[in-house]
Amino acid sequence: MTSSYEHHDYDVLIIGAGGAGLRAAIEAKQRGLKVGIITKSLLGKAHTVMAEGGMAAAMGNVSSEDNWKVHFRDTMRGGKFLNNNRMAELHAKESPDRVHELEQWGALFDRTTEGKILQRDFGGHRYARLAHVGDRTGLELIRTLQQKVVSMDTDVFMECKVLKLVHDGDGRIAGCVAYWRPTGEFVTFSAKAVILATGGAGKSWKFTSNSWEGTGDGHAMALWAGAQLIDMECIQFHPTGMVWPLSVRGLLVTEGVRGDGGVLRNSEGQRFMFNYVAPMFRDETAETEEEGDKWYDDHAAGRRPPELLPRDEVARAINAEVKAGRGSPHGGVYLDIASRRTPEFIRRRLPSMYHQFMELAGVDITSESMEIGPTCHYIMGGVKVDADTAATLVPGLFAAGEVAGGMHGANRLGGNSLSDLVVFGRRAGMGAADYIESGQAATSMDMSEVEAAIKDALAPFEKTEGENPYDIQRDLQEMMQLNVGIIRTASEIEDATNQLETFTQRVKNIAVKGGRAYNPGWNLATDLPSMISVCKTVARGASLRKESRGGHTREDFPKADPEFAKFNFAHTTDGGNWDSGIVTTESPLLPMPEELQALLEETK
Amino acid sequence: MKTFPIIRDLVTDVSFNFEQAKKVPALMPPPMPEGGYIMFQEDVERGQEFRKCIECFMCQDVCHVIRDHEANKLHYSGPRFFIRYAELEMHPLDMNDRRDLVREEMGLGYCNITKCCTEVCPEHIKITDNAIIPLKERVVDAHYDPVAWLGRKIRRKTKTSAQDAAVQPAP
Repeated sequence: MTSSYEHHDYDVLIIGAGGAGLRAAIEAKQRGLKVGIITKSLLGKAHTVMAEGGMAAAMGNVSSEDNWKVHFRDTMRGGKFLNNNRMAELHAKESPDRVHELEQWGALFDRTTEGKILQRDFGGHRYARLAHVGDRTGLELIRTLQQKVVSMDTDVFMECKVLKLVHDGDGRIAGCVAYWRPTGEFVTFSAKAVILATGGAGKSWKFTSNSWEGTGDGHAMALWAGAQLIDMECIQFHPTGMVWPLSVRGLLVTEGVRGDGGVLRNSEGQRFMFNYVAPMFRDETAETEEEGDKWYDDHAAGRRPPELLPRDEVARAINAEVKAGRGSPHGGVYLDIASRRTPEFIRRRLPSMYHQFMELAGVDITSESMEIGPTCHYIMGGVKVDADTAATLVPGLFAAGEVAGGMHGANRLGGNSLSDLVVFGRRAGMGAADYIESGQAATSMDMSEVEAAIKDALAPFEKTEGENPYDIQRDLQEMMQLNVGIIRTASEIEDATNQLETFTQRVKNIAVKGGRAYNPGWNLATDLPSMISVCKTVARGASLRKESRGGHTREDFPKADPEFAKFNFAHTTDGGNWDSGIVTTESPLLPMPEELQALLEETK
Repeated sequence: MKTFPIIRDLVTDVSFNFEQAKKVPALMPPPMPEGGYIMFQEDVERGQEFRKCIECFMCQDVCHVIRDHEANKLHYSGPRFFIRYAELEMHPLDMNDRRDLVREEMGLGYCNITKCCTEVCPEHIKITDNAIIPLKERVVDAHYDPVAWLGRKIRRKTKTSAQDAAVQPAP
């Protein structure tokens, strides 16, 4: 290679150091390959740690009736049947082994009285299925994998932002070009196979549980490299995120608060959820506050209170209250447990939440209400992959975790994300190793692609006058929240589509001052192209899916339409650049084998 | 900010911690029985406290041993890693022995229990009381107890030595 840039060479290069990336690294390493991991942040700081509830695996430690078939069915039903059924099958079959494997590597899950791994109930799962560690299961998962990776002596490149994937002359992935955040110096990586494990894209919404890293870099890079993105319109909004103070806006407030007696109130103090019970839930939901309150102590004495309806129902109700002018000062509603439970009870049952509000917001939840609102939490859509190998449509490119699409269909069940990471992280490692062993991998990088990416990245320094990247990001978040948020409608999506063209022009006009070492403005300027590309595919999918299904709700098409359950919308670009046009096709769902079909029909 | 070199503004170089992480001998459990390991809640709870660590490295930053004495960084791993060693040593399944390692190479003896680490821990982990002191007790028991010393002289150690442990990969 005749380049003047710092250069590294690997067999397998993994972009992203969350659960999926680390699990992929372990697998590739065990196959004897030279593995490098690149992360924009620090090792162990990935978004995986935000997962609280647990990791779904049909081990049957608590409910002996549980098995992979029930888990498969729950996943498909939760995903409103848009899922890749082979992914859902593999996930349900393999997740118990992955949990046991974590334990061999040092994870300490909570135990049953017999000393087995304890499993808890969660929304959408028929049986108690989530292996967990209190309310910090994601942290346990990342630490375990991180410590395993470190013990295997794997190279980890931290604070290194990948700009673009690079092909060889024949369209195979051959590596990537990146820069070091501490110095701003460029660096190239060549590899026989690249695994994307970059996580989500929630940073493009105003209220989000995603932190600064979640700009959809992997989604965008796959799109630019020629892969397909599917189901991008399917985005999960968690009903209860913190709305204030600004520094923690969007941070999750666990469903457990409502499970333990917390209720939602508007600015008039009214417990409004009783006004939002959809007909299909009326039979199983309490009609009065008295009836709902009895349920907490004895599930047989009354029906479930409406605060415990599915996530999308609660999110929509909060949204409607705020729009009707009955919101809290910072644009949310109130979650009140203080008036309903004793301080001792709250501190014992919800230690993390007590701690979170006390330390971060100065709110004592044993005496005050929390201000909360729906927050962008997870993107079901992602790179289209082969279920068994995690291979994308581009030779040499693999994807696993949140960046991959198909596993969760239109809506993800809580607890299915952590298991997704390790099941398909491992499969991506295997797939990449098999690909390399087949001898078809790329051997050289097209340096003209490297030069072009670097030129684009440096463009903001060449202007003396121009847009501030932070202004663009803030406006983009406002715009997406407003127009392609929880509830969508044709006119708003159209408005978003037009505005995204304006945003594209604004990004081209960014000017950045100062040097390249730890320059947050420039760092953001290099993230914005990813955000714009992802938003365009989300808006396109939202516009074309003229129905409501899972994480996609259309005000103008409130019902699910069976015709839309036959395919995913798949997006590619017409030029391979971030400002290229988006081309969308209907990609038929994977045909379902009869034996899986039979599992779904058993309980219909 | 004093322990770790400043790169720019409030950005510090915390690579010391990642170097220390590489030196920790991994968990070495017995082969897993059919249906998974059996461990009890009261046994895993001790380790779970230390696994709450979010690796903010504030405990490392305030620790006098490395804050005031740069040279000590060569042979001192710091509070964050003492809770890691304590967690592994208390792990119900672990068959590794890191006692000599923490005494000889990780500088456990340098800690003089000022509890600054415990004071700053945002996760409220009782670093000194629940990890460092029990770890010191274990090391002392193993190394200075005259009966144990005699025992070691008479029969071969059944546990792996620190040096062996340090290079053994996890299964």
